[in-house]
Amino acid sequence: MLRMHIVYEDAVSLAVIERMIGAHRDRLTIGDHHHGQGFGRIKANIAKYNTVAERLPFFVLTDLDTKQCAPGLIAQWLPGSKAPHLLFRIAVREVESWLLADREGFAAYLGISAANLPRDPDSLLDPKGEIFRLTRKSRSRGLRQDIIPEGLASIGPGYNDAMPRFVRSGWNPETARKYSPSLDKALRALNDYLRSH
Amino acid sequence: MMITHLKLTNWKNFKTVDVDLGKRVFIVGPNASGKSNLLDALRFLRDVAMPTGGGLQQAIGDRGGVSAIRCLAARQPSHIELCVKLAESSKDENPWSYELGIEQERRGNRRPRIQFERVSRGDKRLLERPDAADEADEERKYQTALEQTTFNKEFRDIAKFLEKIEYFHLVPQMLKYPQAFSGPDLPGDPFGRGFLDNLARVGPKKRDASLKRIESMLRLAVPQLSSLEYVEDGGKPHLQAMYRHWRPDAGIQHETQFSDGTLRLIGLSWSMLQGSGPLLLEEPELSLNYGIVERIPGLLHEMRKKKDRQSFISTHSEILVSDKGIELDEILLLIPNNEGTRVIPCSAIEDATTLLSAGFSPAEIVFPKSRPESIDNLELKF
Repeated sequence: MLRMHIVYEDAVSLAVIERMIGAHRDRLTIGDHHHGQGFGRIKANIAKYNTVAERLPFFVLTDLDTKQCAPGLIAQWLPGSKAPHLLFRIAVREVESWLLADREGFAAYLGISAANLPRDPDSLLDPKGEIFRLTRKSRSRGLRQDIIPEGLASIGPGYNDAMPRFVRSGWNPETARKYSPSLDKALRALNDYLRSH
Repeated sequence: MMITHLKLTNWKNFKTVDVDLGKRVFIVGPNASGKSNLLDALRFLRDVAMPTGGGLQQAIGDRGGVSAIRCLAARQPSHIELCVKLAESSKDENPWSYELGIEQERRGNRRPRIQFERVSRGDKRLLERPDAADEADEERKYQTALEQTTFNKEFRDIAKFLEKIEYFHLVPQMLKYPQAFSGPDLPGDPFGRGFLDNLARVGPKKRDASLKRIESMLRLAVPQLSSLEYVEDGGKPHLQAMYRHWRPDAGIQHETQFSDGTLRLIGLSWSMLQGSGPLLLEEPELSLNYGIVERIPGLLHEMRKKKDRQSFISTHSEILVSDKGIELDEILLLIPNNEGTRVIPCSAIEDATTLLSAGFSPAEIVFPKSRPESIDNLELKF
């Protein structure tokens, strides 16, 4: 059994990593949890993770946010070579795009029609904003109260409960990968890693 | 109902406080800036409103008298003033307001008495004291109308509401070494000395239902724990937990053997599940693991949603305040200076919205502001 240490940005990306690794539970378990506290600290620590990943498997998941492109970000953060056990994945633009990509699943969670969901979530500049927009259509008052921020906060007060709950119980990565090339690449990278180790 | 506004004059560290309050209020500031004193203003109103064991004289007496409460920076006016606005929501068009001014007798026993007491609802004034009766009989000024059920009929709703304010700060050692803590009970059992007796008083059905919920949460936080239940042993109440152990009979523990963190978590969850009024929590992060602390703001949101309870949380924890679902105006920053501590909402911090839109978490915005400048030179001369 391979123990993979994980680095995540927030409650949502943690839940996503757990699902991705959980799909290989016959071979993989999650080791240490490193809370990156947003991409700033992940960026600051990436060289350390890379050093450790010379020997130990590390899965780092971060958002592309406003950077140009994923390969550009990798080159910028890791100017040297990438260690053999480092899986450094970047969600385009945010991990939320991967969730929106399960159009049926997320529509069912909100209780709205899947026709409302974007067909190309990776191209969204503000995936969280899209989630708020869709949640406003939901009949569930509880979900609206949880997910949509009341003021200027970047997420609603119960977002970190409501979205991970969806990831754990409603999200289907196999459906989602069809609409998100970025998720598809991440899932393939994990598969390839397991095939070669 | 919730407390939507708090105004204080000459209350402990604060010469003046004048702030709006939301559904959750996170209180952040350096050591000794007055976080607990701010919570205590609300506890004080609760103590005044309590029909038994409460009242103005008792509430002031428990705090060491007027001179112990009055702000050191107080000059003129020198009276103490506490005003709250209460409303069903922030959009309520008919909010309640309760205003209490306290002064001290100039001679004699120097007893505290009301300087004024006012209640209104919307534009309508329901109480204005001192009134003619107070002037005719000075003795009346030693009691508030809030504490007298015969007088407060028109505004009993707010008396009942204030009475339900709950402060809970379970100190594990109080449960583990009860013999070390003697003396009279404090109103509302703030430190959990009587926690087990309180458990015993709650009806078995309600108690078991709450303990079941706490148990299922504890099983996630403390994976070795398999069950938590209330037991009575020789007439004395106890909490009993079963831990998974390689020797099947070895895993039973009573509360005196629980870890501090386990007891804190039990106390925290109990206070969220029981009760219906505003909940005041002092540093709920103490003894708790990172993973639990970061869930606290979400749990308080859930409590508000399901039970319509407001919460006030004093904290030093960056993890707790790093939840990006916290609005900047939900955080109060305490800034001490020689003229008493100032209280401002984090949204009033210069550049706060710029920092927020750049992706900073609320903690990254507020904590750099609550760091005393002299701390860089912190040393202890051995």
